[in-house]
Amino acid sequence: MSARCGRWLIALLFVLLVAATTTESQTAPPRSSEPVLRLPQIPYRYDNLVELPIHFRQGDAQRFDNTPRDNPITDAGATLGRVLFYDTRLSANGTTSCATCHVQKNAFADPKPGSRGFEGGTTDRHAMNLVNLRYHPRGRFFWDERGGNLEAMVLLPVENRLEMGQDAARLPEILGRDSRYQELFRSAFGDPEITKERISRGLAQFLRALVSYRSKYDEGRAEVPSSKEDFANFTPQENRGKALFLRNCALCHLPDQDAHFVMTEPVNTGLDEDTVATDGGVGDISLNPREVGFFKSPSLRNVEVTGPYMHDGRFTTLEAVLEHYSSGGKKHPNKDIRVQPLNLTASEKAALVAFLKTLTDPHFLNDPRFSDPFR
Amino acid sequence: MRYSCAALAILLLSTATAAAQDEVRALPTTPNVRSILSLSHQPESRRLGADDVVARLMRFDRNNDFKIEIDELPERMQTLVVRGDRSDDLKLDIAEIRRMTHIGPEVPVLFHSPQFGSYGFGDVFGLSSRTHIENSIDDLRLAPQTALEAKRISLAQADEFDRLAPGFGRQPLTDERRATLIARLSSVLTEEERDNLNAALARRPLVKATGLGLDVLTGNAQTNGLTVDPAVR
Repeated sequence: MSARCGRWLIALLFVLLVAATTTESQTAPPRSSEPVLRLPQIPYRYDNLVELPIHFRQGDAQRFDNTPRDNPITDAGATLGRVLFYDTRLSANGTTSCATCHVQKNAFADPKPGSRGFEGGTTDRHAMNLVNLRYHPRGRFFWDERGGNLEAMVLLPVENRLEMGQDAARLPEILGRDSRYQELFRSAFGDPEITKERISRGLAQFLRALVSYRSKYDEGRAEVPSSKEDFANFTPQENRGKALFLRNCALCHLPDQDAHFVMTEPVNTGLDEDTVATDGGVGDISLNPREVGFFKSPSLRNVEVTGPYMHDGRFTTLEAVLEHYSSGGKKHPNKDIRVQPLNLTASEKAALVAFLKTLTDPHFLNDPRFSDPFR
Repeated sequence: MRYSCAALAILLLSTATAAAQDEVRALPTTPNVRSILSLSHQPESRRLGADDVVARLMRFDRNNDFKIEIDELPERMQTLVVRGDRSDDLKLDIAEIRRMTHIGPEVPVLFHSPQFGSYGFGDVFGLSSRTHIENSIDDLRLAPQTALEAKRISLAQADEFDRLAPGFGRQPLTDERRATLIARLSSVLTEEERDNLNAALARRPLVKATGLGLDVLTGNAQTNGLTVDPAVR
């Protein structure tokens, strides 16, 4: 019995091994010191505009796209960006990659309030999700919007002395030692030259390719002419939550279209009352007193898995976030007038949470195109 | 010149307070500097100004020299020193900080009467409560017959409010009127449904006055795509 079982087990392992090597293969045999890199023989497709649902392609929604003309998403460029995103050689001591803090199953947010840097330090802000960065119409990034566009911002965490501590000017030399990178750069840009600018452009292409569009919300929205109508695939509670969201939250979080759950500008939502001793967000960069306490809001898509919430991860649950908005937030001279007490009942909060969970996109969270190619 | 004098004064003062403990920040006697550094927990109505920005940055002054060195700032803010350091000492003094501040447009505030472009609450700006009531009932996701009956009772009550205040047009739902309306629905709605309706009706719609009327931005008075039986409208 055991010998027969063992033969079956060996056969099964062989089949699994063959299956694994046919779907993803190594681009080139690694040197002994280089991590194994598994990329598909036929590159993944990243420019998925063709299959985006109609509510992404309608006029108002399309205007949210911040893709620059000189750096469109290509399959080879985004593939390069994917490899860079997961490569720990982008940190000074080879321990930390972008993906260390931006975790795919958490919609590329960090499940911890502060992120652990390459030498063990902890950031004072939460690593926000990277969902649909392509559709942030202002094209400015980080909680305080100090990052001017994706191409400009991607190397800031790499160079940050707490986060990855790498001298980005050295990256071409470091990556150039790996012959597989020369091939990746050749595919993406036509020749194998590795430059800091090309590293930025590849990373930016990958980040813009991280588009979530296959949630329960998207499936329901595709079946009706307007998001205001009840969705057939929603429960009554989810539809009730959607109605509450559209009436009380959409003005900021779903502005003028039905696809992008992002805010078009940073605001102060009354998180803190103290105007001096707390994180000033945008105001600490612009030195405009009217912007003290202003923070960028990440996309609400996949918000179920992107906690803890707010710039400092102060709220661990969606219920806590809703409690903040239900109360109307704390007093602050810069608090946005749209943040008013909602006094939500328990069943209204439950309905809103149920609706927010319909924004979870399991395809996005498990998409192999976005996964670690070094595993 | 004025800023240079202030900076010099602060430098002298900082020398005098060099022995200050880390936890207890010794303030110089200059009233202006004292007021800047003691700003915090201000009421909502106060508008923030350049002094607040200076105070915010001065909290990073760990060595109490009234200058912000580049390493005293979080890394994300260190470009401020590059931007504002005019004396090439890789530090920011109060004058340099103040020079970098700029006051942007006023944060919008709520008005008590509709003026072109102003924001306010619908009940204050004279928005009819009819759509507000209907949408609030729709959002409860009641059985169709229950919803119809609840709307019939509610809108009849709203008419009654108008009739009792002749000559003033559609009446806003005050707390008292809302309580009366909710009580009238006790034969149709459960207690939980009444609580939810009460909460929804209490949520004041945010509106913006336009040249043509009111643009409803939030709340249940927004026109939505839900079907409402014309018989009860």
